[in-house]
Amino acid sequence: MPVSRLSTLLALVGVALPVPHSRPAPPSTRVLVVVSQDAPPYRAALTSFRHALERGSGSLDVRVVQLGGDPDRVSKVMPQTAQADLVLTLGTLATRESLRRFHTTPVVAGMILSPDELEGSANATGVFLQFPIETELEWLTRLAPTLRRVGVIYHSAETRDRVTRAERLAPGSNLSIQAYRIDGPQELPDALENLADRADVLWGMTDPVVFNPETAKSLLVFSFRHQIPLIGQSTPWVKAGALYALDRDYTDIGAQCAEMAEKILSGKAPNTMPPVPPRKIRYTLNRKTAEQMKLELPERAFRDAAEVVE
Amino acid sequence: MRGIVPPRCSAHGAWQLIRATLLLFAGAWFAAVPAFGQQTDAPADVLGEASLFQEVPRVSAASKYEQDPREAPASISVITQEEIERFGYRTLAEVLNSVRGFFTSYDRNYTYVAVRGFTLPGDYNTRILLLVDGHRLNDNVADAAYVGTESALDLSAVERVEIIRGAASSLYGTNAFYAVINVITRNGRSLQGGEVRADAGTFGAYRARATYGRRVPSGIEFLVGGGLYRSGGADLYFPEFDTPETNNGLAVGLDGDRTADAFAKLTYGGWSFEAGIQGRKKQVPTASFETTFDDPRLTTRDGHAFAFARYDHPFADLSRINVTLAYDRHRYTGTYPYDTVVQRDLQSGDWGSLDAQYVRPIGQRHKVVIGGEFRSNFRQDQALYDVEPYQSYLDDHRSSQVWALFVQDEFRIAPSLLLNAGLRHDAYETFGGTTNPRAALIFNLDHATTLKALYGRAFRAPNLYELYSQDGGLTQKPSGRLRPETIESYEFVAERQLARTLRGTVSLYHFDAARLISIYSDSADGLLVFGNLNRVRSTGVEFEAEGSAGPVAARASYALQHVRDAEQDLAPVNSPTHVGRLGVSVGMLRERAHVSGEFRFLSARRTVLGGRVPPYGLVNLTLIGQPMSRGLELSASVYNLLNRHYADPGGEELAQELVFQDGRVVRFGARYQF
Repeated sequence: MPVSRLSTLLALVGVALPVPHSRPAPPSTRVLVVVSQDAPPYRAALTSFRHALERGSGSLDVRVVQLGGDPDRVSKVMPQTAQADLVLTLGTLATRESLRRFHTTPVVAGMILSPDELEGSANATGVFLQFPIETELEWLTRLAPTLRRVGVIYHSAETRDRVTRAERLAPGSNLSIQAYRIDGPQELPDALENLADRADVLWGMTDPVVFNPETAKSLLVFSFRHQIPLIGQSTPWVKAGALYALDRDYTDIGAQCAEMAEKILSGKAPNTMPPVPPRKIRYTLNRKTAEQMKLELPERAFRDAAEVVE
Repeated sequence: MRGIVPPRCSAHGAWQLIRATLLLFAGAWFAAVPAFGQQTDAPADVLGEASLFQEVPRVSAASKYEQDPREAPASISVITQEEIERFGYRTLAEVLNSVRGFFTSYDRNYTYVAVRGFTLPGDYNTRILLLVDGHRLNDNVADAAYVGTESALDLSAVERVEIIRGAASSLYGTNAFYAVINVITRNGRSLQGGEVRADAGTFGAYRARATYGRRVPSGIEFLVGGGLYRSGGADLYFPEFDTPETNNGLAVGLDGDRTADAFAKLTYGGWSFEAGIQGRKKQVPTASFETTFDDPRLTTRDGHAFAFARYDHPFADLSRINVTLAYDRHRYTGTYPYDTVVQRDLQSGDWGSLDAQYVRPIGQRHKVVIGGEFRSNFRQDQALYDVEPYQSYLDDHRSSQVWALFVQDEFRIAPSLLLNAGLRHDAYETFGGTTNPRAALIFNLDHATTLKALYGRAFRAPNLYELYSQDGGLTQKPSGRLRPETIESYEFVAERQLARTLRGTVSLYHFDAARLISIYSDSADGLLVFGNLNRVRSTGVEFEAEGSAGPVAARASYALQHVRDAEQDLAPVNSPTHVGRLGVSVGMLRERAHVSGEFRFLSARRTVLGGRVPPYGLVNLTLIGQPMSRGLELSASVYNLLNRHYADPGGEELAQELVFQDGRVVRFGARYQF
């Protein structure tokens, strides 16, 4: 058979028979992930974000930029353009740097402390870590119903807004707020002294000037000395001696971010979705501190705790 | 006791010893830095959420009384209720015995506190100021502070005892001469229920006590308690009275001690009310004041009651005002049997006080305290008379007023440098006014080390007993006019966190106390009279280390003190050169039980007659534990475990040059909390 006829025949067969070939793949979703630091909560959120988004949106093209908690590193590792369909930021540093660079690419921010980080950014939404004041007060009355006078020490303007809100809401929960603003850590001893006879419990609002490893000892020593339990702002505080802390499920925060991302990728504008707090609440309780403070907490409180520090 | 040689220690020798010890310790101190250096650098600014994930240093309830060494303008020790329980301390005196540079002596009637090697015979602790929750407890006739079983407060009501060394009249006025002891009482919240306790031990001693306290959700907090103590006391032998006419020196059944006390505390909001009452009757076996030996009628009775209301209000700018209105009452009755008559010695004091202070931060660098105190002594009576046939030697009725104003500023010169300076003026009807300053420069060398340079001047007002006591001209006449005693203290303190749970303190001090009041014989008429006579200088160095490792907690201290009477160049009576302390507590069975041992050492001391009290070392041991039953705690203590034969020097009023102390004493106790 002349070659030309064979070619014609093969060409005909080729038309008639289905021949395996690669169809052009749907374009994969390009996601730029910027992470403030490489720590377990961030890793948990990122892993669960990827899994959830892969399940929903199919193929993902994920590029991860680790800032390592170092602001000086940002200029070396951060891309100047997003070149992505969506940016996921995990952490305050990552969010601030991303919002500074990317003004049109949608940004989903996770692991930020408060929604204030996203204020004025129409391309951003996300999941913030602070629990609503209502939630905090509800859990306080649930876990320690006999503690009515709540002492708060704060520094920042952001916390002041939360304190003001707490002062408004507290009477509804049969609580009262005793708040002191300090200008710096040097005023902490005076503020604590002023609270000693006026508070049944000290509420550790997330205010890095007041609550940090450097001030932890003063706060906890005060707590034990005056038998005024400290409500920590996270599990490490409970392990250090605070009575309890509401904490977050970081895996679920990743999934929550993924759900927001899916909606954005399917066309919803970020500014139509206000930032939200974590939907899952877990808490850690310190039994030893409760005993030391002679607090009679319901046994159920220990049963339901995600972790009990003995 | 014959043939007793007074301890001689030349000033030059003592200084050499102090210098050598300092050099040795300085070497060890700084050599420890690389091994233990766990200084934490200041954290970088933390952004937002990172504060949630940071590791937070663990703090246990045991460290709740750790002082922040950075701010206090003095060298301070704190003994907690936990330590009181674990070491089996029965009185405030035993607490003070565990503290660096302190020791007590006992003449089988009252307990005398020596601070940094200084105490005067017959001084009922007038050179220390005793406070309960900041309220003055020294009485208004003899100015005495009671720390033995005669103390106004039982230790089970105590949350902690703060011992503040150095001259502090700039804040507290009279008596804050060598030290201030502030007893902080428990709050209702520390109990949240009731507590009953009982113990019994050697010499037929038993104690029973009940306390109840609670904080209720409305914010009201209260605590009430009361107790009884009885002790038959030891049968004692005094060689000074070893004659057939005086029962061969045996005082049998004459060391009895009985106390009863009650305490109540209520707080609500800024208001707090506190009241306490205590009475003690002590049999005195020593035939003091030349009374008849082996006579059971020789007794002293002391009673103290206090009540105060305090209002404390903080303001939003972190300033606060604090006002206290108080009433106190003290009664003393001494019954002194002589061959033919019984003599009675009475002191009655009633006084009220009003004090207020306002604390205000000014800018970022200053915190100013201004305050005032007014004390009205409604009654300051003394009497001395024979009961039958009645004959009065002294019947003195007085009242007086004292007022004072003070100001103090805490000036943060730089983040790591603080200047604390204060001044107080006190006005007395008896001698006029006195103004006393204090200044402290506190430098935080690094995160682990604080250096303090302290200066203070203090006074002690002559008390009514010293001014007006007499016996109708038989042996003693009133002095009428005395000037206040004064002291200037200089101290350098270095405090260092040697490791996470190990802390060291070195203190080098010098005191110069002048116009000290003591009794002497007036050459003009041969009568005894009080006068401003002595001047005492004291130089010393103290070392202390306290720390914990796992279930073991320990505190050790050593004081080398060189005290000299300026005129005689002799160590004063009852002033040892070396004072050592070691306390170790070991937790067992997951902290359900503790065994705690204490070793106390005192070097030789001079007696009133110029003799020598031999040095001694004592070991006390306490086991405390919670058996299976929740709320029940059992304890057993052995004091003077090795049954050492030891003594304290007797005072001028005693025939005994040495007053021997108890041998081995055992106590068993139980406490039930519900």
